[in-house]
Amino acid sequence: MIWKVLHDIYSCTSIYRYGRVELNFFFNELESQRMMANPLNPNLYYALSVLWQVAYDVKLLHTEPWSSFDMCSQSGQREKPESKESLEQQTQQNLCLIQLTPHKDLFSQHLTSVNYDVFFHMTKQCFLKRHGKLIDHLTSLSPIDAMDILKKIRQDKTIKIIDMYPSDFKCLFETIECSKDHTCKWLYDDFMEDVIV
Amino acid sequence: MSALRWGRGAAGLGWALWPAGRPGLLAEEGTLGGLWGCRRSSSASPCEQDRRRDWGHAELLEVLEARVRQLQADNVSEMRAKLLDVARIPEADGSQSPRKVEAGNEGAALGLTSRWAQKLHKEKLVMQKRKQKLEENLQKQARKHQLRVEPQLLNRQLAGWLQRWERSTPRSPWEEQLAQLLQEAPKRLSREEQHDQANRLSKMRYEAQQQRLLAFLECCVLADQLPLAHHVLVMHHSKSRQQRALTLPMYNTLLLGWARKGSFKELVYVFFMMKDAGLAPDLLSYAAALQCMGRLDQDASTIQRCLKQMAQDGLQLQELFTSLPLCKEDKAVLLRAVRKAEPTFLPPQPPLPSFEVNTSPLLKEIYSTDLPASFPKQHLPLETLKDLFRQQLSVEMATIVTVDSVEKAPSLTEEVLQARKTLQELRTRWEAELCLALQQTKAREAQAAREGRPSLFPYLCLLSEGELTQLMLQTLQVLSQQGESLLSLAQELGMRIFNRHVVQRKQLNDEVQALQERYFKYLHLLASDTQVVMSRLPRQHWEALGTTEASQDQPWPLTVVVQLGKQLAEVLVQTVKMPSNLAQLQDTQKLIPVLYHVYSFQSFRQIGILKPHPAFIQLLETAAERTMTFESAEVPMLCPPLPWTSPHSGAFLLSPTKLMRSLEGTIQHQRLLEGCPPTELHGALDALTQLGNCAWRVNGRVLDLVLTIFNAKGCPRLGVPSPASEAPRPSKHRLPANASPERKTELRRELARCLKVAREMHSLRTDALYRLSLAQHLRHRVFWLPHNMDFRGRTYPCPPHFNHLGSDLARALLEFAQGRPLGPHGLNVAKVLEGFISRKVVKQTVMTVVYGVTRYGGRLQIEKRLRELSDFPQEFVWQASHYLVRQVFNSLQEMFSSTRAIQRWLTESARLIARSGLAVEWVTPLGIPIIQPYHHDSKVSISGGIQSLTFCSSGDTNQKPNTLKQKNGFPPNFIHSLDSSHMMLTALHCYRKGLTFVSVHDCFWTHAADVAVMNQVCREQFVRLHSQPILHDLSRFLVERYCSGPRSTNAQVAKLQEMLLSVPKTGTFDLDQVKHSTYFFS
Repeated sequence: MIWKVLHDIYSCTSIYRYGRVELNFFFNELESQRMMANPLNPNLYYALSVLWQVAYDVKLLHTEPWSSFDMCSQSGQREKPESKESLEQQTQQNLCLIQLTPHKDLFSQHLTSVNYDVFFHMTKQCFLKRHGKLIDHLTSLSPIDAMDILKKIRQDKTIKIIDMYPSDFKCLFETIECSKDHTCKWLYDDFMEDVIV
Repeated sequence: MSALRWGRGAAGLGWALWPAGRPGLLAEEGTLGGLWGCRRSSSASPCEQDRRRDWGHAELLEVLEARVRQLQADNVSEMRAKLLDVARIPEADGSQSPRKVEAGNEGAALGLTSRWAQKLHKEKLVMQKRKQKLEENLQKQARKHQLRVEPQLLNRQLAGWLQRWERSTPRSPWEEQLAQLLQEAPKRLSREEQHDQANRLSKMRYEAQQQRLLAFLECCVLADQLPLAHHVLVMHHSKSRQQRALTLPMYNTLLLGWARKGSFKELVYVFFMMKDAGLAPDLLSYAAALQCMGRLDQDASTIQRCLKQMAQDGLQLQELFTSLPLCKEDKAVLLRAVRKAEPTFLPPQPPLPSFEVNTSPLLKEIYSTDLPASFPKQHLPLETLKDLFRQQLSVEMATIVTVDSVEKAPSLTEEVLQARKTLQELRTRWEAELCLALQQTKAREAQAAREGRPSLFPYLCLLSEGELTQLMLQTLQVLSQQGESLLSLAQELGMRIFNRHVVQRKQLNDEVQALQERYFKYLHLLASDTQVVMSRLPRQHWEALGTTEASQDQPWPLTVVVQLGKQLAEVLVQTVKMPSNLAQLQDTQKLIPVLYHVYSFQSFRQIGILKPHPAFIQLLETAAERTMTFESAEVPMLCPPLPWTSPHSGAFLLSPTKLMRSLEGTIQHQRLLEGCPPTELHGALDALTQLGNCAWRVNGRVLDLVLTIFNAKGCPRLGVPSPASEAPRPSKHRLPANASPERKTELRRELARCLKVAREMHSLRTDALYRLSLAQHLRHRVFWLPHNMDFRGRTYPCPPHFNHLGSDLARALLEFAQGRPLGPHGLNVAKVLEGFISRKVVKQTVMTVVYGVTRYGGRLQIEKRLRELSDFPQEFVWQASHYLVRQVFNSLQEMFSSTRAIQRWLTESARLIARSGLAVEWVTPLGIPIIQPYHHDSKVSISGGIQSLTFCSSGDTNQKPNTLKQKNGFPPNFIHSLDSSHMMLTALHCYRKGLTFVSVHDCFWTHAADVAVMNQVCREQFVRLHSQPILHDLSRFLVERYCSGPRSTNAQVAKLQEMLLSVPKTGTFDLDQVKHSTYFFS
């Protein structure tokens, strides 16, 4: 579901076909923490955090304990928890109401609904080795000289993936995308991912 | 300096306090002690041994010290560079080392002013410190580079014994030791019990480790790295935990290695270790000992004692020659040794296989001796065939075949020439760099082995660096633009190394000469102008001409294959670089990598991919070199293939080929085939041999036509794929900046669609390119397609790219080399049947229902067929397919109720068998053992390096069988195995009648003139096969296999037995009708 919504907004399809729509969702606590994570809480910082925050203004509206909810299965029956432990774990957790407001300036001249999959791929690959240095990742993302890119985005060569803010990733992507004197900007091609068409 | 050494001595004393011996062996101490006595003196011995070794170090150290002083005048950095060389001086040279000369002339300092003196003193101190550091380093290095020879035994008595005897002068002869060692060999404590409790996973990991270590040791022996193998064994042996992982085959590997070298001392050391580990020597250990004695030409009495001991252990002398996988030379030496002790001994003659005959009732006529054996001969004379053999041999020795591509050659413009030149320069540079990188890798791996870490060192030594480099450059050359997954690339590289190594070994062992002699004799049977007195089938004749030696090349564990390939891929990624701007090759330019390691995200998995730089692909395209490289086993053979005589010998002359192909890493088929009596396989062996003996040639006129179309725009309707230039292109590349998001999404979809089509076209085109290029390469030649079978017994040609399997285009390119005029009925065959299409739509579904196709799958099949009909309204495909599949299923349920009952019975039986924890096995009517390789996935991961690789294997027999696959697979696989039996029977009987015959599964070919005969044979054999009580035979076999022995008391097994015994009734179909049916086979 999460990936579906992300693909939808980046490709301007489904509910985003006619423009920006604000969504309010309940997420479990861990997931919502991840959605809002940044380098300040590195343990929760994932590729998804970046993709959410680049696309939306993510806001926590309200926290409500699980116990306030009845859980029903699709047939309307009250669902039995799989085990006692998982029930306890669940009841201790909270559900978070999250407001997702799409950014007005998500798309630019360089990040568009046509090439967003490259941005997805770039982010995912970076977070494969989260503690690695950006400069090491760049060599397997783009044939363009890594030092040049770093210079352009004004980052130090020792910068690590988990030290980069979501906006930094967008900036990185746009920098590589707009570099002029290279015929080939990315090592990625469509073959490498099951793109939802 | 002396203080330092003293310290080491003290450390040695410390070691004496370290407890020796293993608690597990305490029980035996009494008996051992009684035998050898002197418990007191022996208790202190392990430390003495260590001290001895320390003295060895000390001597070496002195050499190094002298060298250090020599070098001190030079600057330190230079010295460091030389350190490695110094450290490599072997220990043996140490004895002639220059003695230490006292250095330092302190008196001279007195004459100088005090300030100077102070400064000098300071400098001297610094120097001394530096020197000390250097010495420490050297010491470490020296120890690293020394391989251990003497074992460190954990059993104190044994260690003492070894120690005493080593120090005693004059030493009692080694043979004496060996005889004593063999006596009273302790029986191993039952260690298996310990693992019963351990959980399954850790046990499997443990076994995998053992397997890897054994493969490592074996490879060391092959790569002539015996001292290293010995060192590793000693290392493992000296630690009680690691020692437990050592198995008898590991010790035996070393024994055999030392025996071949005639190194008695090391051999005895290994025997010491074996005894220490509580392992009793087996037949192979004795064979090694005897072989070593044979090589050293020792006197009869020693050998006699050894033989006597062997007899006491209950081992038969005869078996040394029959049940051991020893090569000819080993056996000769062994015989020499045995003859010394027993001059009258005669080694048992292996029974001639051709005297044993298959007894299956279906094959009675084939093997009956009433009539002379009959089979189609080759149409070529002896001398021609001999010449063809030599050509094929040289192809296989070269291991690769270079073929010109049939693609249009580019006009040689300046640009093309420049690109070729650039490419050539780059390759030359890469070759040198790769060689260097390989050397470094080898050094690293050797170091790892010395330290007892897992290592690939011996595997890297099997081929020369040059050959490995060539292999890597080839890989780079064929890498497609999209790249290839690291896992498959690694596996392929690893397998290539293995195959090459096998071919090389055959060359080294002088097998080629013997092969040629045997093959030339064999040709007398096949050639058109020669006769052989004895009437035999080709396989029988081949067997009569000599004995087949047991295969000595065990396949490596899959993890080793992948690891090796991965290592090379890594070297390739790290080493191969090109200038960032290919237009100008200058050394000053910045170098960028050619290969990139990227990830692809597919659902939950991340797949590592090696991808070439687009500029490199561009360069290759511009250069348009138009040559392709194939492995020699991927190309049809130029002479009749070797007859199949065993599960692993046949087909190609040198390249290893398996009788039954399987996924890499599954070995249960191989085990079953090796376990079954050779005569049982005769039917399959003969059928495959004869299928391979059919000579082919390229139909030149068809090839010309196809090539013309191919190099124009292709013609998908005729099955000739189009080039990339014909791929659909998206309408517009550039969008206006203000285009709506909708428009952009549309464009995205269109792009994706185009890309998909382009990719499909590319793969079809490449496939056709390979096929046509090989056809062009073989034009005007006669060639042969060796055959093997899959795990169900279906036959396939071995060369993958160019064969008679596949589309009409593929078949049209080939014709029988020996043409025959069309007979009276020939014209009927050429007629095209009309109204076929309406049958084709549902045929696949009707056929596959018997195999257990579900309604869903059936609908998809019909949908596909309907889509192929150009005049069918495409909008209704979905509804129509639904309607049809319902109709088909309903009508089938009425018609084939008994067939369904049989299918249910098979499925249910398979389910119960799989539930009881075993894989389903059966034997085809022709005697081929079949096992379904469906188990739960076992995950193997290889970490480290550029990426951790994880791969799943469903063929791991340690895992539980996959019940779903076992049960769903049984009915179709069983029927396939019957079909293949029918095909083989038809083939054998056709050959009996002297017909040329080839087949693709259920499609049989012969000369047009012989079709009538083939038709008759085909029907007859079908009736005969199905007149057999096939299901009852199956039931009997399954009951015997799964419900006998200790298992039979189990309630589950009782249920299974009940199910197996309730064989469903077969239908009332009158088989004789088949003989008269026109469309039985169309």
